[in-house]
Amino acid sequence: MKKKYKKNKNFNKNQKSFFFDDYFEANQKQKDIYKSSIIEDRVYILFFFFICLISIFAIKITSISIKEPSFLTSKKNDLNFLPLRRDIIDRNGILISRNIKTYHAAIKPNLINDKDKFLIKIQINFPEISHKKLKIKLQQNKYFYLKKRLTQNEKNKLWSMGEKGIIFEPNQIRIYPQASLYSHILGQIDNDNYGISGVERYFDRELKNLKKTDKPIQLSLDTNIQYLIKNELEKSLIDFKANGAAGLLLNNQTGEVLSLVSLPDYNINLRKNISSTVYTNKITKGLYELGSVFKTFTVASAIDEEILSKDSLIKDITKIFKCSIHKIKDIHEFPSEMKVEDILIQSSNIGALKIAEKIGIEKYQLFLKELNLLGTAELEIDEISTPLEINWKNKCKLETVSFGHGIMTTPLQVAAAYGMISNGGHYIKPTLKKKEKADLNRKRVIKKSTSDKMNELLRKVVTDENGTASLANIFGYSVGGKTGTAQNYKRKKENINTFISIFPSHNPKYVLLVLLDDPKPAPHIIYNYRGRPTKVNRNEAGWNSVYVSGKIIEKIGPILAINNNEVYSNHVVKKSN
Amino acid sequence: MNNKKLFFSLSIFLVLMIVTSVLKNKTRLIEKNIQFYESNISDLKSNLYESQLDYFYLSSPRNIMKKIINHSENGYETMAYSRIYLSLDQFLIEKEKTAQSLLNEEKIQKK
Repeated sequence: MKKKYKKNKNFNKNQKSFFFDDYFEANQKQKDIYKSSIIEDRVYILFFFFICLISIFAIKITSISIKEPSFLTSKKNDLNFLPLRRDIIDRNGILISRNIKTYHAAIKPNLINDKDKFLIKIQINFPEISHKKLKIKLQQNKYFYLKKRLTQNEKNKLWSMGEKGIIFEPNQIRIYPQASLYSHILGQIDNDNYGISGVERYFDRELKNLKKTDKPIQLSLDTNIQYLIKNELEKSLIDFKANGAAGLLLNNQTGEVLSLVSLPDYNINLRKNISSTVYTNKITKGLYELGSVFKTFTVASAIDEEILSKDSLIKDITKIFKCSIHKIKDIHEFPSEMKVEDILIQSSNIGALKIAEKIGIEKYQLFLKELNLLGTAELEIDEISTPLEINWKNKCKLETVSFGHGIMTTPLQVAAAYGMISNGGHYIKPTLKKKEKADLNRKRVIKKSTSDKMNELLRKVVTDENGTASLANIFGYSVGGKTGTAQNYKRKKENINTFISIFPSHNPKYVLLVLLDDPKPAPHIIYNYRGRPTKVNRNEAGWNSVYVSGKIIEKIGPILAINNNEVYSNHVVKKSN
Repeated sequence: MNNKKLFFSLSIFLVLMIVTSVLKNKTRLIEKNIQFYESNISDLKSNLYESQLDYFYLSSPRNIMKKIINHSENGYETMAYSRIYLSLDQFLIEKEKTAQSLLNEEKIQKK
C-alpha cells in the first residue's frame, strides 16, 4: 500500500479527510501521465540520436585533420617525396648533402610506333647517345634505360617528344651543394642508395634510418673555415708549384675535425672513375715520413720521463753522425753543445738523436705508442691507412725515428698527437661528429707540466730569432708549432714540407697541420720576415708551409674567435687592455 | 496538452534536423579546407626543401667569393686582427699609445 502511495504524486500524509475520486477522471489522469512520459522518452531518444550524428561529424573532422590526405600518400603525386637518406649538415647547420627526386628515362620499344623517327629525334636532342646501340636495343624489343639521372632540361626534352614508349621512372640522387669542398670526407653513394665511400659509407645505416628522416646528421666540420683553408692551399699550389697540398684543423680538447682538405680534389656531384693517386686523401690515406715534426715527440718524451729538462745541455753534437752505413747530418752547422730547447727551436737532427739515445728504445717506443703514432688512426671514414710496422731491432731505428725518418705515419695521427701534447696531456680521438664538450674521463698521455713546457717551446720555434717558423707569428693568435722538411719516401728528389701549429699557445685550443707535396722556391713572394720585406730562393718548410699556415690563421682566426667565447675573450680583452 | 507536447517534440526534431544539416555542410566545408591547407602545406614543404638546396648552393662560400670578385672593383680582403677595434675609444687609445712610443723612440735616438 505504501508503495502505491509513494508512486502517487498527489498523496499527502497530512491529509485529514478523503473522498472517492471519479474512476474515469482518475484513469484519464493516469493515461496522461503515461503518455507524457512516453513523449519525454522520445525526446530523449531524439536528442541521443542527434548527438550521435553530431559526434560522428566531429569524429570525422578530427580524423581528417589527423590523417594524411589520400593525395599525399599516393605514389604518383610529385609532392609525396620521402628522402631515402638523411641530410648531412656542418657544425653551423649548413647543408652539405641531401637527396632529391630525379627520373630515369626507360624505353618500352613495343609502344613506339615509328622507331626510325624516334631514333632521329633522340639523335637531335641527345647526340651523346650512341645511335647504333640504341637501334639494336630497340630491335631487341626489351625494356631498357635510355638515360639515367635526368636533369630537368633533359626530362622536358623527352617529354616534348610525346612518345608513349618513354617511361619516366622516379628515383633519388644525392646532391652536394658545396661541390668539391668536402670531396675527400663525404664520399659517394651508388645507384642503389648504398654509401660506397667516406662519411656516406661509415654512417650508412644511420643515414638510411627513415624514422629520423627529419633529423640531419651533424658533422664537426665548418664550411667557412674549410673554404678559407682550401682557398689558401689552392693559392699555395700556384705560388710554390707544388704537386699537392693538405690541411687539417683539429680542436685539441674534443678531437673534433673542423676542416680536412686534400688537394687536388674533385666535384663529387659528377660521377667519374678516379684512378690517379694524386686524388688520394693525403690526411688520412697518405703515409709520409714527416721529418722534424717528430722532434717535438722526442723532446716531450725526454721531459716527461724526467730524463732531461728543457735547459739540459746536450754535448758532442757533431757535424756528421755515423750510424751503421748511414751518415746523419744537419742542414747547417750547429754548436757542439746545445740546450734541449735550442735543439727543438733550431731543429737539429743530431741533437734530437742524442736526446733519443738518452731516453732509450723501449721508453721512446712506448711513448709513441701512447700517442697512437704506431697504430691506425681513428676517424669516421674508411679511407685510413695503417702505418708500416717498424722493426725497432734494425740498426739506427731509434736514431732516425727521433727526427722523423724511417717512420711513416698519416698526417692525421701526427696532428692528433700534437693535440694530445698541447691540450694538457689528454688522449684525444679525432672525430667528424660534432661534440659539445670534451670527454671527462680522458686518459692522460703526458703530465700537465710537460704539456705546458712543450707549448712554451713550440711558441719559441715561432718567436725565437733562430726559430724555423717566424712567418707564422701572426699578431693576436700566439701561434706555436714545429716545421718538418722531409724527403718524399718514393721520389727522393721531392720534399714533403709540413708545419704543425697550435694556437693560442698559452692555452692551445686548435691544431693546424699544413702539408705541401714538393713545393718549389717562390722568389716572386715578398715575405714579411721579422718585419723586413724579404725575397728568398729556398724551399724549406719555413718558407712555404709556415707561410701558408700564417695566411690561414690570419683568416680563420677571427671566425674561431667569434665562434668561441673563450678564445674571443682571451684575445679581445688582452688587446683592449 | 498532448498536441502541445507533440508540437514541442516535433519542433525539437526540426531544430535538431536543421542544426545537423548545417553541421554536416560545415563539416564538409571544414574537410575541404583541411585538405586545401594540407595540400598547401605539402606544396610549401616541397618548395622549401628545394629552395633550401638552392639557398645553400647559392650562399656557399665559393659562390659568395665569385660574386664579390664580380661585383667589387677591389679584391676581397680579410680584416687583419690588428685593424679590428671594438670602439672609437679603443681606437683612440691605441693610436695614442703608438704616437707615444714613436715619440719615445725619437727621444732615445736624439740622446
